[in-house]
Amino acid sequence: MNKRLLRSFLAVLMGLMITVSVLGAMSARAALSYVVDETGSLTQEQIKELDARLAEQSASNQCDIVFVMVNSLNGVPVETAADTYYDNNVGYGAANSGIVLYISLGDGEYAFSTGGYAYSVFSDYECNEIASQVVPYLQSSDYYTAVKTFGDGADYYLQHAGQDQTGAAVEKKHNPIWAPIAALVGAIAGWIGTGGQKAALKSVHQQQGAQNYVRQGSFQVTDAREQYLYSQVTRTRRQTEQPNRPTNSRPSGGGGGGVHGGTSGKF
Amino acid sequence: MAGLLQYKCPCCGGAIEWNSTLQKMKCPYCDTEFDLATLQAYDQELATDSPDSMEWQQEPGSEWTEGEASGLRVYVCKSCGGEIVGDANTAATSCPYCGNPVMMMGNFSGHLKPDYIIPFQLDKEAAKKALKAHLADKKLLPAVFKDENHIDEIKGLYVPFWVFDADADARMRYKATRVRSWHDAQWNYTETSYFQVIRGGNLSFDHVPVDGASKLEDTLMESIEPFDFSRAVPFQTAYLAGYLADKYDVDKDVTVNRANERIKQSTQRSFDQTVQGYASVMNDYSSIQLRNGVAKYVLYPVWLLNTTWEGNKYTFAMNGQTGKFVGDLPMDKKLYWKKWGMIAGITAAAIYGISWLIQLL
Repeated sequence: MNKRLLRSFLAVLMGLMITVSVLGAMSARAALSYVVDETGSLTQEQIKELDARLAEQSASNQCDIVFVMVNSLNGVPVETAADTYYDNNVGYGAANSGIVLYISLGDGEYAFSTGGYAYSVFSDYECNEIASQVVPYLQSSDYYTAVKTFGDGADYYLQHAGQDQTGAAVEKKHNPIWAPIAALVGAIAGWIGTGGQKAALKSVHQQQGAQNYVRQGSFQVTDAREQYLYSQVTRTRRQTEQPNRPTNSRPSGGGGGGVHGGTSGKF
Repeated sequence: MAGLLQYKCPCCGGAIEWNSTLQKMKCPYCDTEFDLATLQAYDQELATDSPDSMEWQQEPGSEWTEGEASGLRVYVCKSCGGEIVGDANTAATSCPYCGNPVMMMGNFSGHLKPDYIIPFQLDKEAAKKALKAHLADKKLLPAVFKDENHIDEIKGLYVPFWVFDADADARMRYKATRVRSWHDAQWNYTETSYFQVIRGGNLSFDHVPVDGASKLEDTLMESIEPFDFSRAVPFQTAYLAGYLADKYDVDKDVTVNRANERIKQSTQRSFDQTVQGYASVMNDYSSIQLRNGVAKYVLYPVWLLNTTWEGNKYTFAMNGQTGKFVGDLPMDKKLYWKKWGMIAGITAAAIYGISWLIQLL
């Protein structure tokens, strides 16, 4: 009886914990603003409309698409500001996927910060393509269209991930290095597989030492000493390992510890 | 007047000088620093070095009495020149070394009488059974080789051995290191500490055998070891009845080198195993002094079969006391490459196929 009660109690407790964590996650998602304008360049109606648009695109791609616009960087490099914003606010799902376009109007600088799944989708090429379409609107102070263009560009690349720039599916080429690797491993397996059978034919070996003829109990160590001579200390500089992504020129550790990609520029 | 005292650097071997600033000994070549007491102790240890001494006393074997020798016959192979001994009632129908059927009989003369003999404890049937087992389950053995074997020609032969007893006093010196690692925010540090490790002690060996027959390969005879000398009995010609025996034609003074080598290897290994707890250990010096070295001339029981296949000679031997059977076998090269090709081909195809699957996923 007691065991049944305990099981019921544990089941209820686990159910509560799951509910609380799901609700917590949902409320965290609900709190995310997809369009952040600290400059007052967009009207409340525009922000509301654009936020809903980016929220929908984010949900359909399971990857946050966030636009942030501030007056000044206050001396912080624009890439750092973008990564920090990402780490503190952005990230969809367990992989924390997302892309942030961080703009400082006062400094005339922008930076993309990508993470999770978006890190592998948005290489320098994709970021620069989006930037080339967004920057003209920033230069003409048409921020409403800039946000829309950014959202549509990010949505396009997320929808077409795995395809080339013309929209065709990227053909996965088989690496020719596999042929010699397979041949080499096959040859080694052949030698190992037949090695045992070949060795079984040889049974004549020279004896190493005369261990079979040591008189039992005769081994005595009468002198066992250790004498310290000297010490040498060497040092090497510590290195922090970072994942390398050849097509992404800015892999960086963010303030919150995440790894981000993306490009930056001026307008 | 006393000579100039000079210390050598344990690190690089250069002459070390006193550094008045450090108040330590410092090597001008490798910059390693030492306490004077450390160097004095190191130098004292080096001063005790002495070369190996492997002296053997007491001559083995004894003279035959007239009655013993008259009951023995010598058979000489016309083909390979091998000389074997049998008692007057044992006929040598073929040479145990080359299988030649023409054996010339003569009277026994000369040579020492063995001190001991281990009588055969396994008969011909056991030897034939062991040979069949030796050939079984050898997947690369040519099938024809089994059929062409003259298994009935396996012969029991007393093989002459010199056996050596000795007490070994050993003194070993090792260079050893211990490694400690730590780090701070910027650097990884590794400290390697060097030590001189000293080991001394003793070890005794009983009946280390070296075969005294030039017609038999030393490695073949070593391969059927060990022999249990506790079953040896003082030699009597009666034990030769029904068997053949070889006479030694490699002198004790020649075979002793191999015994010394084996004793030295085992002594070294025994002391090496006591040096533990270090990151690296390298033997720097070893000195082995043999005491109470005694050699004996003995006959050990061996079943032998010689066979020729495709122009190559194959010799099989079985320890007539323990039944240990050895003998290298020929390989069917066509079969070997066929099997190699099959394994290599299947493995390569599987890996290549997996690489395509990975690509598709």
